[in-house]
Amino acid sequence: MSTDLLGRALTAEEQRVADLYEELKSLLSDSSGLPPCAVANLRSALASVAVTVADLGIAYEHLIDYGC
Amino acid sequence: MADVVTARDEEVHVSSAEFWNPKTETLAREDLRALQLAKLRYVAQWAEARSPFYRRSFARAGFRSDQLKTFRDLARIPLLTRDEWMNSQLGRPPFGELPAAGPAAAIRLHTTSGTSGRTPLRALDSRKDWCWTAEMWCYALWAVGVRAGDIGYVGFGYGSFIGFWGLHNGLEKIGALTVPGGAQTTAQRVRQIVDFDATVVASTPTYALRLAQEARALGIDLPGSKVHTVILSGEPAGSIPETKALIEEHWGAKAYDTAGMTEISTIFMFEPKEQPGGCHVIEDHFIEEVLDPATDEELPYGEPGERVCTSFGRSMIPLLRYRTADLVVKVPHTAATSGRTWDLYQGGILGRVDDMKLVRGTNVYPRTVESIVRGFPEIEEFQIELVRADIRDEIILHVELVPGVGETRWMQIYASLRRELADAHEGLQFRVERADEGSLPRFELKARRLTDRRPASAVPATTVPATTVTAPATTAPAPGAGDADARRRGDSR
Repeated sequence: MSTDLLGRALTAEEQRVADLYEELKSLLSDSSGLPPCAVANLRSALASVAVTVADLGIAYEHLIDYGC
Repeated sequence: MADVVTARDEEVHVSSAEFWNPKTETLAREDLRALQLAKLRYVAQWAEARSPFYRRSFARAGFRSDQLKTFRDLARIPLLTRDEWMNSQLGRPPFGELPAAGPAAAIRLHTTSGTSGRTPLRALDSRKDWCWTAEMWCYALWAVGVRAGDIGYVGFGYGSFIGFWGLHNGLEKIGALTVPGGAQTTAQRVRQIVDFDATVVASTPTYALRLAQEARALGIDLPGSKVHTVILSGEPAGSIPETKALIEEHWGAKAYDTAGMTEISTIFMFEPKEQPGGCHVIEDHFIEEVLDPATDEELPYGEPGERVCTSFGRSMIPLLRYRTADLVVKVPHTAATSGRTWDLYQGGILGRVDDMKLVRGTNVYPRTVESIVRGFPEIEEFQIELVRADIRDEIILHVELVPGVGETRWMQIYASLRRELADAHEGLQFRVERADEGSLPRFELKARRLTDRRPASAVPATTVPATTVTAPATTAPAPGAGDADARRRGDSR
């Protein structure tokens, strides 16, 4: 993603947050190779980053299917 | 090494930020609406796809989520009542059919307080939901100056009632040292607040006064403690100027109102540091409508009506157009000087649309009575009782005074109370009675200070018809309301 929910271009910092968000989702969409400690902590991380992207209007979605 | 930015430098930089989320707290109104619409579309789709309750409800109303083209389409979404939620819970226990997923997807289960005597609602939260719950409290805590260096004491029982759980987690998220004050006596809590050098205390307004009473009894000087901020929630009294002034005086600290509900898991509004006489709605995470309770039409700014809440936070239980029965008056953001573009609820939660009592043809709101009672610092606790004597309704105010108030002063208080109550209620005469010391109930959570003992069949309907919705008297504090030194009423009254 390169724009926020209002269609505005993301700042450089926002882009890094967006990339981190997508990376965490990608990791958790196929976490079969990760041990429980990694999956649980990555889910906690994704929950926090998901709140961040919603706060900043970068993205907004629910993540129950990711265990969040 | 001089150009290395340390964590401490970053902390100082972050701590000096005025807003928790500058991007949305100062967003232009039209952009805020666009942001809300984008989130609303997603939540409506989510509810339609995942919640059996909403699927049926939408179908009955002829609504589909793809009909949300503009913000005005919000009104197409059917209203949700507590009774509908409860009936769903009772019909398909334990959680009903509102949830978008089963309990296996949740990490938290909380309930409403049950203080109303009704069956508590049960609510589920996912990992993200619970993180968001704390986030809403961070907006409020940051706005009143709570920072990483603070020590927060949470005067709360930490049970299945959701209460101050979110505030606790919000304090931790900000980086404040957080002290859970559960499972202790009031005296133990007071001692811990002082012993641990707490700078921020969170409790209901009633319990903030109770803690102060206990401190006095223990000979502890609360105004001399390090507490600079009291965060209030759980009762409308947090925005009653007289109650807040009393709390600020007893604590020697600023008191700020917030309000939330279990149905959303957290708070939806907070009073900013400037204390403009109202609370900002957290509008990037909620849509708050004020409706005429009889016609369901949206009311303009300044008109009292029922608060209807749509939340963007909880994924487990979507909440769309929930009738809260809270009585509110919305005013535009320009009523405050905080720089936020978020609208406010003037005077906080003014009461319930159904808590007005009709006594001999006169409307009586508990909030109005409390605002008068709190003007007398000698009154430690009170109860309102409605009875039927023959064919005549009587309203009795039982007041318990602080120890040591003599008969002469009591007679002055008695006369002043009678006069002020009558003046505020179209001449309605209250019976005012002095209760024995320690005889009235004390409260830690939501106080219940009105008992209606009139025969049910003879009690007039208490739901406020649309044409008669009025804000309770003495509930529109002036800017700066809450200054501890501004509204004390002396012995001359």
